Amino acid sequence: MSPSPARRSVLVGLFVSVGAMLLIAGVLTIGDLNDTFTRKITVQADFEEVTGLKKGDNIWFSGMKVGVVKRLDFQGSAEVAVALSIERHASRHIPSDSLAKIGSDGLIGNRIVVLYGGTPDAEPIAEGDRLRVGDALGPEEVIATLQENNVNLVAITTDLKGLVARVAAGEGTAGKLVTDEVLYASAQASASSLELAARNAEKLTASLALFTAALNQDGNLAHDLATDREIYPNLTATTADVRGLVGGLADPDTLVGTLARDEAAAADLKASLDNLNRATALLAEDLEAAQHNVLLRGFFKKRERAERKAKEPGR
Amino acid sequence: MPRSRSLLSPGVDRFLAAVGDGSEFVVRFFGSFWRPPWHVREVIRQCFEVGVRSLPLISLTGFITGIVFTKQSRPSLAAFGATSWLPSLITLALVRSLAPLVTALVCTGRVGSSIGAELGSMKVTEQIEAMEVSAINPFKYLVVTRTLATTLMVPVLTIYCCFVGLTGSFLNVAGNEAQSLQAFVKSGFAQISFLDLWSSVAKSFIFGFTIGIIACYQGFHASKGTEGVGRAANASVVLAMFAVFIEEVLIVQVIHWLRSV
Repeated sequence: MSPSPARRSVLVGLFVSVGAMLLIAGVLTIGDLNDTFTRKITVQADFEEVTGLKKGDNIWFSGMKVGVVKRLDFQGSAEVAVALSIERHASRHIPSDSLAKIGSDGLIGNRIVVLYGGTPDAEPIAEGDRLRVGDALGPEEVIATLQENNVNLVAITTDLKGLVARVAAGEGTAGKLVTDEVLYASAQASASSLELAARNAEKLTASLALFTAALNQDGNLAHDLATDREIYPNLTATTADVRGLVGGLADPDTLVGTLARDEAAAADLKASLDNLNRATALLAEDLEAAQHNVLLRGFFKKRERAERKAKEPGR
Repeated sequence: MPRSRSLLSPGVDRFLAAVGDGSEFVVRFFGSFWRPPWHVREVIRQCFEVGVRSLPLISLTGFITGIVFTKQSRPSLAAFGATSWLPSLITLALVRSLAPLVTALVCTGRVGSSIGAELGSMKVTEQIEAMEVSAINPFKYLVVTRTLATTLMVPVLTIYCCFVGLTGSFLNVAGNEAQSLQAFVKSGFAQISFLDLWSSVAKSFIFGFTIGIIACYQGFHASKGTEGVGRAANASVVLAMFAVFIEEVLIVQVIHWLRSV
């Protein structure tokens, strides 16, 4: 059953309106995602090689999308001038001394322009600025490096192959070590000697441990020296006394200092002592003579008797 | 009446004559389009028939296209660990090509055959001549209104198809990759430009016009009774589909050129 003309008009209007709204939603979504309605500035970077970069590719700064490539033009015969359209609100955070390089959005992704570096003190980029270009490591460079690594790897493998062949043939130290029976026996003997030496070292270590334990016992000199808290202060005091004595020897005002330093005084003292020795000898003779004197003989005989009596108490 | 001698061969002559008649038919359309009466009520009725009545079929086709294309694309991207690119791939394919093409083909089958059969039936039953007698311009009333309706409605149906197809794709992606709607929309539309959107809409206008004008031409030139009606309907579908594919190839070239400028 066909609807009435009026109802049909409403349905057609509704149909078209919803379709138009979907279209508008699509336009706004694209516009928002592509920043169509955002204010932008344009700066330029001159690359020697753009490696497939094209209009509309993204620009990243600190991992965030900040704009798109606006235009690519040849500049002379060696450079491509790339106009970068950057969102104005993002441009305030991009220093004017930032570098631009061409990167890739993932391993197989689209080309992108990466802005990096720059000093925080530099002015933000402005309309018409020309950015410096940094070194980019593109897939071609990565592949070239890998190719160089492959060549090196082949060379290493070839060398290794030759080395293993020589070892297998018994050439060189390693080859002899692997194939020579005499060298093997010698090495085994050396190992046995080393084992014996190790055992001896073990015994020596055990003896040293016992000796150390004995030294550590109380009353042992080493233990006392290591643990006593009085010896060291006494030694320090004695050292100070000796230092004072030595100081006294050096002092010319003291008797010892005078004797040590004044040769005339020392000679006088020596002469005095000699005189004293002679006087003492003469005095001893005089006293011997006195013992035989009539007046004093009784005293000495009396003392002898008392001494004999004291030595022989049983009598 | 003696048979006229063919210029090149009977087949080539018939083809060239059809091209000439078709061109004249198109010129006549643009000549009549600007002049009143505009038969607005009839245009709305045709818009209803072409647009609103085709919506369920277009929705179903678009939904299935979105799901199937997503499912078929997943293994290839999964081989690279790049299933996160599914929304972008599906959106690009649907907006740029699939939605306009699927809509045009469905409309060709449903609307083109209907118009061809309807006008062919009117032609063989001499209703068109009757309209001329009753002072109604049959070209204006039948051809211009229907062609205008297909021209206007196919783009709208394309938008619906795109929307429904993306919905189907999202359901599949959400089920398999647990991706949110916001992430799907952002990822999907990030690679779409205004050129893609407007070229798709413009392409749909051309497809709609092509479907309408070819179906009307075939119906308007139907002959040989009821057999001619069937032939007109069949030719409408075959020729319109063929023309749509040719146009698709040409338009893609033009868009690529515009994109590179």
